[in-house]
Amino acid sequence: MSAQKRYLLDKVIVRYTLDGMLSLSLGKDLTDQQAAAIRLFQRPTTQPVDLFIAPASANILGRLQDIPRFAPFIQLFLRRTEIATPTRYFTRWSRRVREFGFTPEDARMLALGSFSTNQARDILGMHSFITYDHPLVNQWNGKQDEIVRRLNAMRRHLNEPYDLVELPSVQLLA
Amino acid sequence: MQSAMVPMPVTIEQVAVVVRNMSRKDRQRLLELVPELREAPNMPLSAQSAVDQTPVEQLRREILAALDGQLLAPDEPFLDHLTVGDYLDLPDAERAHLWERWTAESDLSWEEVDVRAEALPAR
Repeated sequence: MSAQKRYLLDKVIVRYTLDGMLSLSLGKDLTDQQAAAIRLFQRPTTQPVDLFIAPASANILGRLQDIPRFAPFIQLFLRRTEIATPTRYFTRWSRRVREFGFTPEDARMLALGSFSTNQARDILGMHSFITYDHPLVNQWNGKQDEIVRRLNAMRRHLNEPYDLVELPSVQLLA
Repeated sequence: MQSAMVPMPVTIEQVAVVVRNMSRKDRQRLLELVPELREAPNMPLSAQSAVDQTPVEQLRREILAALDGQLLAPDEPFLDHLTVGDYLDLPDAERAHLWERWTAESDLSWEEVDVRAEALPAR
């Protein structure tokens, strides 16, 4: 069981990381967004941080892994990240997050920030959700008090350890 | 009394390759067994700020190692009948659109699992 900080990466961050890796593998220069995503991707090599990706992102990487030339490349990516698997109550919380005006996909990612685990199933939730989506960050922060109240109301009816879930902080990758 | 020095059966370079190919879990276990690895070496400032120490350069080296030292060719087949060169030449908005479609096609069930009773919350 790891007590390290857990970061869930938005699909767009995963894309910029992969695009950056592809650019490096072709000897091309990186865009600013790709470079920022790669600095985050490399953080676990120097800091106590665990990176997680959503099942949908993992699925795209899985398709690339089936192409032999990309397989070692994708393995490198997957060695540094884990897949955030939805836990019990994920769907229920995702539905409630949508009621605050988030799109279905955003609501799923935000709900995954609270109700997800790793392969060993010995963690619950993420400390932060990292995104490039400025409006999403504003919307999350603007409705934070209401969302906290809603989660607290739900938690009262859950058994351990689900009654200990927290909201992730939603952070913009600069 | 001098302590006996046991010669290493492998070179440092071989150890580096093994570490580089470890899973994150194994690296974490290694750090628990050898906490001295966490200590930053006392390097001169000029060496610490060398360009090849940046995360991007580190990753460039890791990618090259993963590809057995051979860069990808732009005409390598990628997804959706594109080459990797075609894909990277697309405007950012089009690459984003492709990812949206690939995600939608993934048809995930979002099946829920139970965590262990002692699972560690994000606090």
